[in-house]
Amino acid sequence: MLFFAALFTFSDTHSSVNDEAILSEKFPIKLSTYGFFDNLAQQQPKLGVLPYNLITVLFSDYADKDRFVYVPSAKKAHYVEDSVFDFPVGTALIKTFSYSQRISDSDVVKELIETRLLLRKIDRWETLAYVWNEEQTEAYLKVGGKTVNTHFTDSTGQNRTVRYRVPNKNQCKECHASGDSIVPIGPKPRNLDKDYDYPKQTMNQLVKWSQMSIIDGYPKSVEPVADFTDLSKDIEARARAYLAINCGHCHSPKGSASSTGLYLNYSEQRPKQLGILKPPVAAGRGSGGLNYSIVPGDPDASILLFRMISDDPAIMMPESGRSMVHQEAVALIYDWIERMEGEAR
Amino acid sequence: MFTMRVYPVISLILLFACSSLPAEQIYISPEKNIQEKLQETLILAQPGDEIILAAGIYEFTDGLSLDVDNIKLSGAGHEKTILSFTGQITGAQGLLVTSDNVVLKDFAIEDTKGDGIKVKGSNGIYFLNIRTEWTGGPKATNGAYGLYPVESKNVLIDGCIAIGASDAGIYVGQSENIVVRNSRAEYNVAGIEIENSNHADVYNNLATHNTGGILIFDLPYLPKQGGHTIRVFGNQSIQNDTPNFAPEGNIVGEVPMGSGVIVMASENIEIFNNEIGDNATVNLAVVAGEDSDDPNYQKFPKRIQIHDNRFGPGGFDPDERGDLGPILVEIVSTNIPDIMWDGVLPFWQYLFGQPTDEKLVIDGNGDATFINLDAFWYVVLPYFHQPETDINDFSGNISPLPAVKLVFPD
Repeated sequence: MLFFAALFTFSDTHSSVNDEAILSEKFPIKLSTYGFFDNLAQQQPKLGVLPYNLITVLFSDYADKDRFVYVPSAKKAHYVEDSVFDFPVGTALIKTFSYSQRISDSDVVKELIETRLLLRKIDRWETLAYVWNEEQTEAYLKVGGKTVNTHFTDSTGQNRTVRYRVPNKNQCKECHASGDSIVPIGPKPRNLDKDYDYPKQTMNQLVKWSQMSIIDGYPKSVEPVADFTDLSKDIEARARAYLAINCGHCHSPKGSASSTGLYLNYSEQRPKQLGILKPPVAAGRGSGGLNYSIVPGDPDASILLFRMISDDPAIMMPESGRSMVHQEAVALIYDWIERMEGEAR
Repeated sequence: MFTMRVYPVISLILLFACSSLPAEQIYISPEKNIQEKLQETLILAQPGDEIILAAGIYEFTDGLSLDVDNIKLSGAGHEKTILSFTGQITGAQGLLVTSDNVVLKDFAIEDTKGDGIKVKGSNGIYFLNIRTEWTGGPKATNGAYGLYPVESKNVLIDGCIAIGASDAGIYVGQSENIVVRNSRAEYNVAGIEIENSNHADVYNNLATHNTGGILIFDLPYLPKQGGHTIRVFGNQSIQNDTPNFAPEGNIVGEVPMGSGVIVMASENIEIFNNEIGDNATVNLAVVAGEDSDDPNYQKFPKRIQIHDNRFGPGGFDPDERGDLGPILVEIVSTNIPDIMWDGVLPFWQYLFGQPTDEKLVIDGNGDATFINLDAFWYVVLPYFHQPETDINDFSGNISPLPAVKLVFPD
């Protein structure tokens, strides 16, 4: 009896997500086809489509992001050390990018820009971007990328304009490539290990994912990454957490920036590979006339910071995904390098 | 000769690759919204397709990229089909290729903010009659590289033109099985640079009006090191007279204006039948890499063979920028011989001598002049320092290196 009840619950919970659409090699034109949401425009997920957050996130021109995970019933993701969970075939990772603009004190308008999907096909992960229409009623598949010029209100209340770029399919790969395959970046256990305000209760996400049978477990020894905005945390931990999620997917031995020899992934410990007194290789103008990626104690002489401050496409890092400068991160990395001890140059 | 062999093979592969879908020819011409149109085409193309760009000027605001195997992207000629990035706002290069067996043919990429064409991790990449150019002449604000394959295998650069790069016009890095031929590099900081790569043939090229003509470098701190087995032959590296305009911090920023050919670190290099002249600092230099704490880095050049080259005037007005220039002037004053070796060896070899098979061999270069700077003793015992200038001390038998065979992947 219990067994049947469980089965019933599962099928009821998941019946409405279109599993076939997730697996199909003919990519749906409309986001609504997948059936991830009860209310698409309000981004209210169906049961079984679980919202989540990350501790330290990738900067995308100050866009807000709503994340959801969907794992088909009776399947579970497995824990992999120092990696994202190994999600089963049929999984969807859903991320909606939006900007909010304060019109008046009581009136904030949220504009949905795009919804990105990472779909676990039978043989691989597929990346797709759906761009929202002006009416905000539907999002449509866009493989070639798109420029969206819009406005938002920043944390200080300033109204700002942004030339937001929806990535084309190849740009998705630039960040999500590991060797020859595409992999998710965000949902690593250490980056999920925090509380989330679920509708009925507040709960640790990893505990919730276990309860929901999204994952089959995780070691209790998982050390959460630092929230890079959390001033109570050690600056080294904050800086490394930020660099790992913003740079480390390309700047790793298997990533798109493997040829640079500069590795900022979370597990890298070798000083030279982390950029300490490492000369640039093929930086061109990106060197800014400076000799090393990081000069301990001297942020102004450090190429790493110079490239974070720039918005010139030949200089700026990351190469894609931002057109604005992430001031809060620049401040953090400045402090980090300034406090760093090492041989003076 | 190569061309005859290359083409049938490519077309065979293209035929096989698309056995499931008929190969398509997709025609593109300059039109409104070309950014999205061409990018979508590059993404939706199927292996075996040929994308044909009609003559005209195409204007882009963002970088383009190709990640589909077995694609041919061709224009109507490098002066007719022009992809202009004058108005580029995003993208670290004009075109990024990350797939295998790709032919780029008969078009130009102009005025990108960063690199011209970057190719990463590709097996089988062919640049045929491609031009990359910064049209405003040499400027520090130009992008770094024109043609830029990296971490790739089976690279052919044939009949290409690279102008105005603030680092290297033609730059092949961390790659293997490379042919660069029949190409022209001018008004770049480095004309042609082969870096941390092995098995390369660089021949029948013209490098002129660069800061340095042809560079064979091996650098530390990179995933792929130990550049070796490179032939440089039948090239002209003449009148490289553009002041160095590379942004500081880049290794080529050290290259003095008027360098013909420089070999740094590297092993098994054969330089022959070239015409090298009118280079004001030095026609041909063989130097050790910089000191580093990278345990894997092999900074001493080994097995370098220099033979049957013709040298024109050189070393008549050395540029004192960078590391090399001032040392040259200090030791030699202002008349630098055609072939210069810094003479830097591992310490134990000063005591016990250099293994015979690793020695520099210089033979049959007409009346070329030579100097071994013996830079180590210059630093340690300057009073007793006596640079060596007898070229005959370095003559010996040449062991020709094998020709590069490009292998076309399945």
